[in-house]
Amino acid sequence: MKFHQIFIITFLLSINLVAQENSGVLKYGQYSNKFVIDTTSMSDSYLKSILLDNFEKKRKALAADIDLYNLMFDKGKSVFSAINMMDSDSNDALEKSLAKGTYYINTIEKTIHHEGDFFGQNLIIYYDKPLYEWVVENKKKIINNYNCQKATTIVENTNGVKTKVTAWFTNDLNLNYGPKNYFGLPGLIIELHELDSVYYLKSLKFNNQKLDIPNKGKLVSFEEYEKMIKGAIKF
Amino acid sequence: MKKLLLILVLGVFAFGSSGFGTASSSLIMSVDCDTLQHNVYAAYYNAGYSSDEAWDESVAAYERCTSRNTLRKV
Repeated sequence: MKFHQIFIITFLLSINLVAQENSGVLKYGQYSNKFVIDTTSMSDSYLKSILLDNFEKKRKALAADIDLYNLMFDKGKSVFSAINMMDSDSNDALEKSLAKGTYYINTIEKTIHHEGDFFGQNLIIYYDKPLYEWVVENKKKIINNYNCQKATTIVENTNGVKTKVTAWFTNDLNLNYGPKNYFGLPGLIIELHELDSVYYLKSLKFNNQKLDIPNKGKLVSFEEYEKMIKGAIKF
Repeated sequence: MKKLLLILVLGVFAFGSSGFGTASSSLIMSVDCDTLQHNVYAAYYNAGYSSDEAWDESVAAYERCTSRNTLRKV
């Protein structure tokens, strides 16, 4: 009788441990280190000063090495969003420097829902097509004791401007998530370089998570969103 | 010689007090905020930022520009 009881308890505990390894929270930080706007052909000195000043404010706001984002994950699904900061003048600059909204990603179905305030409207932008294709390179390095490998992709904005995004991912953990809308690599993104910013993993904790679903806003496809932009921006 | 020196010093003082120099620099520093917003938007959008990020930056620049112009008028 005792043997049966011990067996059942051990079995239930092992199920719980396996379940926990599929679920948890990742914390990411961010810093800004590269001014990517080409001002060499600009003759307007006031415009140049505004652009440089914006970058400098962002760099200073992100200078502290602190947790800025939560990435909660559970069985192939993830939710990435900025951690709520207390209201104050100094945090105002920080909040403006962070990635906007909440990204809901299903890595199995390869779908992205981006919820947030876009052009004054609460929207949930739905992407059902892959936004990019990763190219895994042979370059390797160790970041925070994780063995990482380099991968790059080219992303294109609605203006057709292409930029290179670099990710360093690890196979040391059986996870394949990443910051913002980046996923789909054969490992967890430890460091991501996008435009002027670097997003980096600060901590990982396995625990049971119940993920929210996007519900604050009007659901629109990315194609519909593109049409809305063209209608909204008129100079 | 003393008279010449006095005329020169008073002349410079009178020119400075007239406000002519301040009015001139005010005209030079006046900024068209609509054009500035358009240019800030284009700078971010052409560098690869999303339209939404470019828009937010351009709105912030416009607000900064209008408050700057208002301050100059006061």
